[in-house]
Amino acid sequence: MLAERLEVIRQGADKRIPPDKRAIMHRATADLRASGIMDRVIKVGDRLPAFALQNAFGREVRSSDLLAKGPLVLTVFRGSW
Amino acid sequence: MQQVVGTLKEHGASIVAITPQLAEASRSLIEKQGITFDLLSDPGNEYAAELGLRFKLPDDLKAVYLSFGNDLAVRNGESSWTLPMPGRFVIDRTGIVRAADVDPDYQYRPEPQKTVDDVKTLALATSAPGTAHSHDRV
Repeated sequence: MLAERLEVIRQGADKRIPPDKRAIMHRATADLRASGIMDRVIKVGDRLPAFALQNAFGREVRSSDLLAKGPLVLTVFRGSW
Repeated sequence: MQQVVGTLKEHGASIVAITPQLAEASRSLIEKQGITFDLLSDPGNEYAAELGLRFKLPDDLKAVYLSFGNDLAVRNGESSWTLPMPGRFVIDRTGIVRAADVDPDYQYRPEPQKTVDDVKTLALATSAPGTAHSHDRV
């Protein structure tokens, strides 16, 4: 399961990162959770805002073109680091 | 996600990922991991903000990242020091969100199988006999 692989990564990070820095990271996540940001996230039943964004090779990809073909799975991630 | 791309496509779904990082880093990721779906660039997390996912890193966290040599201004090609919360969404063909999995913890990822199940459920709902959409099928 992905969750188990992530747990291994998490434990590795906890060993590698000094406790003071780890504490800042954990508190920032807790503060973000407590900020009410989750109340403003798009949710089931909402309409997806249209997008026109470039792929990694500079070609524009439009949500309207994708949705014309069928359902869309959209993943948002911070980056490959 | 890559491991379930085939299954998702069998159910007629498109897959895209959105990231604030520079396209160069996305090209490298595509090559290293053999990714076959598009990684879309979202400079400044402007589109992520439309989804309610964008947040600004506090100064102490920014200092921690810089101490790791992780300069988001360089990685992302702009100096907002914002990131998106990780999320995955399943959108039906009319543009309505049918599944949303988001968490403030950057280490969180929804199980790929959960997304497969969401897409399968959607496919069943829109193809079931007697639904409003059934006459659309050829």
